[in-house]
Amino acid sequence: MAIYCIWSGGDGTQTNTTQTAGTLDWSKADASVADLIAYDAAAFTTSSNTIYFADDHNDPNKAAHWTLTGPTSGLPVNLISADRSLSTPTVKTGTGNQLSSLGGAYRVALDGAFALYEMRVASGENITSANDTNETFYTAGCTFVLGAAGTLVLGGSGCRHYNPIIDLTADGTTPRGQAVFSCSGSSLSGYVRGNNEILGATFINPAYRTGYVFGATEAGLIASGADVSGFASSCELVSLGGAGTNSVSNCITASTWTPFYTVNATSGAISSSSTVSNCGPADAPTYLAARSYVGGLISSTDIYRTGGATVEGVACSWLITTTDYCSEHSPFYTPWRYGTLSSTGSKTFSVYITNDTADLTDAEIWLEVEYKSEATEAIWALATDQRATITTTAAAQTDDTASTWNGSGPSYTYKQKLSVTTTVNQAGQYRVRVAIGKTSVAWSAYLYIDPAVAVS
Amino acid sequence: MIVEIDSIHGSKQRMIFYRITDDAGGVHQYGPVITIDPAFDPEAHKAVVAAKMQESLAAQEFDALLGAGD
Repeated sequence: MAIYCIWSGGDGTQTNTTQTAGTLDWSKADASVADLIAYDAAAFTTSSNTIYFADDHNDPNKAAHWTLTGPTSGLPVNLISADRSLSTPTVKTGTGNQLSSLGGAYRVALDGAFALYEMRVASGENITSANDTNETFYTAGCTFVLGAAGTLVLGGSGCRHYNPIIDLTADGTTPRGQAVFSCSGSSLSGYVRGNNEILGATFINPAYRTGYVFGATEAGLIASGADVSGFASSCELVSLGGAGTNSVSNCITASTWTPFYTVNATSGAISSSSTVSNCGPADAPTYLAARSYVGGLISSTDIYRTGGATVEGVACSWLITTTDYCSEHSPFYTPWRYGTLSSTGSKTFSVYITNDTADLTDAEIWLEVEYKSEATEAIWALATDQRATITTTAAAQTDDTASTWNGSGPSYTYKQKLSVTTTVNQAGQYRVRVAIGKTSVAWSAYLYIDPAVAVS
Repeated sequence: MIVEIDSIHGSKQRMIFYRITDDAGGVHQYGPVITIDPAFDPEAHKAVVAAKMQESLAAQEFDALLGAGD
């Protein structure tokens, strides 16, 4: 592996040799990325090379979209912002535009396996990580300066961004409808691209975005720990793209916020799903929202069943809606709830529901329980209170005459209990979810589920 | 396009759900918009919802032209 330095104050003679491990001679730095490539065309494409950028380095403006090509496999090339005042390699947050396509509405594309540390990447448009399936992409503590309406595009086989700072200053005060983060795979190439992970993102000048913050299309995106409190209520947290999977959690929001950008139902969205958990303007341990092509779920702390579910002592419930595409064969599922049994034998699992429209049947809503059915094997069995077959006459689920529901809005006209009794042959874990197969349940139907699972 | 408030759930933390009927008669959902701000005006927010829906319908039309999902 070779070590290089880049500093716009370097001598730029293109004759500099590689640096010595453990000691950097900034006076012999190459003056720019182009300068180094002219000296060694393989500097950025040789796996495991390390290139230190002076913390105040400014790479020259560009006159077109700019792509920096990295290794196509193996370990990445390390791009490290380092303290230019020290000869010992020491990471220091970049203040200059160390990788830059400034000079016009030009994008920066990083195409290959790269690991960036504390670097500042500045673009006149988007910043794209175009890593392919054999190319890792990792950043830690980097600042991404986007052009007006620019997007940080995540691609390839998955990108991991730790504590990125997204600078949207170029948006000015003009509303911008573009996404901040987006990633997409390709159904044409026959695979869905890997997960992308963004931990601890913060934003500069976010107030003028009216698009969404996070969105995946035919790809997966996981975000946690972002401070999205500066975005306006007209900027949704997550988009439901075609066949994308988004998971956003542990974020602070503005006092008014919108979790999902509702894309119209399209065939490409049929396998899309997104969840948002533990997000809100204050402590929000109960917060959960999920959305898919067939329905949605959102938690409420105002509406709850006495004696029902609590999270960190806060009572809650789940409000359910379904779309025109929901049916018994394509139901909307709540997340699995996991529990542990300390004994074997006959067990009854129960979940309580309410709505204001009508009693629901066992073809419209049912419980699914997976449990340890064998004493010595790993396999679990599924038990349900769904009607026995597709041709069995649907029957109303059991009335619940004992529960008290609380909170304004619903009338709690219909209260029911979903219940499954089965024989558990091994102590240990089980899981339970509710399937809703009724088409077009409106929010105003006030279909609430108590997430608690009662086991007797 | 007609934007209506479908329902409002809760009081301490309001969840506002919108129902949109487009010019072709299609019915869509938007929301919830979640707020702990007592000053938030769900009626005024209808204009934002209408703009979002226009944008979404335009995107759907564009996807259809491209044959997305085939």
